Amino acid sequence: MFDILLSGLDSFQSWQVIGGVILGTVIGMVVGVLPGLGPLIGIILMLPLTFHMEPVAGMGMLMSIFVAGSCGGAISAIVLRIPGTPLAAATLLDGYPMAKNGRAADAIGLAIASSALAGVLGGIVMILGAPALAAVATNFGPPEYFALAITGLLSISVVSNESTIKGLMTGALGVLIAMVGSDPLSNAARFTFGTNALSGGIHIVAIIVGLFALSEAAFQILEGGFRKKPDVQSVRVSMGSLWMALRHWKNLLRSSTIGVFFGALPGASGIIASFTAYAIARSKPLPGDAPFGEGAEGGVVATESANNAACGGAMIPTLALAIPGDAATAVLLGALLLLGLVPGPQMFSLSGDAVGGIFLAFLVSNVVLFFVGMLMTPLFVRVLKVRKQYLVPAVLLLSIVGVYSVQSRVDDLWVMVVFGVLGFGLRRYGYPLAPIVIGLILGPIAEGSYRRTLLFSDNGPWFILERPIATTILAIDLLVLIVAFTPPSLRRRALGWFRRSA
Amino acid sequence: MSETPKSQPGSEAQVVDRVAPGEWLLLAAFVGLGLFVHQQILGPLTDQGNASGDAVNNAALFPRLVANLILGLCALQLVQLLRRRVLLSIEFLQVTTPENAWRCLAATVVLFAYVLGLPLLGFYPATVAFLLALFLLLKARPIWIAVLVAVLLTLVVGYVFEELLRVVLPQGRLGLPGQG
Repeated sequence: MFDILLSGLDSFQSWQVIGGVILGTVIGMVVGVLPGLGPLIGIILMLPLTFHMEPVAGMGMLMSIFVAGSCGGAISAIVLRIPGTPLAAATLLDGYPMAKNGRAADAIGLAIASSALAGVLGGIVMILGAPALAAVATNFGPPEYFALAITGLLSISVVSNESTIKGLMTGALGVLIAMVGSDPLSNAARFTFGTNALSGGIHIVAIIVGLFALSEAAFQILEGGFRKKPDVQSVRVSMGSLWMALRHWKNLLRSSTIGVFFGALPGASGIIASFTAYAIARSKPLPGDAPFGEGAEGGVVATESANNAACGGAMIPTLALAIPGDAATAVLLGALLLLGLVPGPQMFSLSGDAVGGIFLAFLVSNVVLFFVGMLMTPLFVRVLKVRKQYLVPAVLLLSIVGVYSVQSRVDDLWVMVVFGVLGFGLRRYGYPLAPIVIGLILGPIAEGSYRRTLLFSDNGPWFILERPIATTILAIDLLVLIVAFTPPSLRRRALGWFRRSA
Repeated sequence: MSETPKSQPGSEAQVVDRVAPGEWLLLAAFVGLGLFVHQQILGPLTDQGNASGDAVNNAALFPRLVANLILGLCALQLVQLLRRRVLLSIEFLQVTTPENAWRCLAATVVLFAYVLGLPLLGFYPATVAFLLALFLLLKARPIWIAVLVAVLLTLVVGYVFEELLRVVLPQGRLGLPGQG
């Protein structure tokens, strides 16, 4: 653990990294506070900026948005009873009653302190877990990489709430989009229509911004309420919140463990983690605390520590195996590629110093989250007063200029607009967008590994079956697919039969 | 909404009275995509000699697999639609007014116009006009505040990208004020 952190110290010690972490934390809190934005949109909006930064600084900024965005939603949940992000949905159960009882500052302080402490714990698990997992995977060859890429592609499509068929369709769409341009092995032009503009492929930033940010802006306009300006009182948070959170240390440790576990599971998320942690905390209340549902401090501690610890958990498979757990980590994975780092086991041996720097940035972002939260909460509460009629155009402008800034090409803006329209249509009819991003990133890895496997095995794909690890991973994938495609009624009957047999 | 859900078992697909035309349209688009990949393999890739040979030289190997996967999934989705089992997204169920629907369409037109006009007018004039059009479309009043915010936001974003990040923003070709 210390080796990798020490190796990253050099790349971490720069003003650009520190500045990136602070800026990322502030932006993360702002996008977290504002309902409808959230850490994913924050990461996407700032993704083009990372092109102009050092890899560790760029990743530090994006991960700080991820961390702070996961916490910021608690402020609007507590003050307005509207969770800024779905992650904070469980926080309002006790956070809002605390605010109604005149303890809004305590609730926000508890949420920020719990998030920061759990974030550090999640970060430590990440620093211990990711290199260990990567070390196991270091000896993997093309068949194992192929199996892992398929797992990554299946995980979000199958496990997410949306339709499995539609998820797999959009995942395949992402893989196909990644194939536009030159074939990496034979250099042949594919799907370029003979034009030079497509020979280098379609830029991932334009695709991601179009799919997510533009479609979100459209849905925000459809929702209306452009002039709504909530009436919120100013809130000042005190440093004493840290001690208040530490009073619930058992709850904090337990909820952080739950958060890391669910975060590390591809397809599960901080939302499941926070509701699970809340349910368990409810059964073990702290003496002297208010009843759960009526402003219990333990409720806020459980949900906020779980959803922030989940960030560290989610980064373990993302960094070590290049398997992202959700859309936000998928975009972070894409950012790693854009910054010249190849996610997966080799990254730990080839770019150990950058990985160490990224680990340090993650840990520091949680410390910065605490201080930024304590000092700037009055500002974040004021941000809630920004009207949608100004916010939506500002988000659109940042998206457009950000995409343009990557390659200084207006063509990229057209790509962004086309994918914005596509993203809108897909979202409206229940086609999840996250698998497209996973397909874009893992598609080339899957293709390259598959073709190399065929090459080693004299063009016979059954060679994979001679590799126990690859076979096991693919067998699990197949099992997951079978379960996903089994009709719910049959699944319930099978479950009932198993229970009776047991 | 053209669909009326009969049951709401969590996130499972729901039985609806009538499948929305958009579902059929998207299914057709995915079928078209699968067929397009096959057309590209049989056309340009075969003509260039890149659709055969060993795993390294056969650039059509993986696209063919993915296209077949998409077509297979489309067949499954077709069965779902014929059984009228549809997953209704939160976005589909979102209630909107005809007025806001028109606003969304108008905002899309403004966006198209902006991207089209950006190389011609240059970043500063085009962006002020773009923001102002959107602000007014989204009922920002009084107008002078909308104008002020549009100008300030353009200047701040322009400064950050041009001065801090050294990005050369579109200069324009009409010789308008604010063009480089």
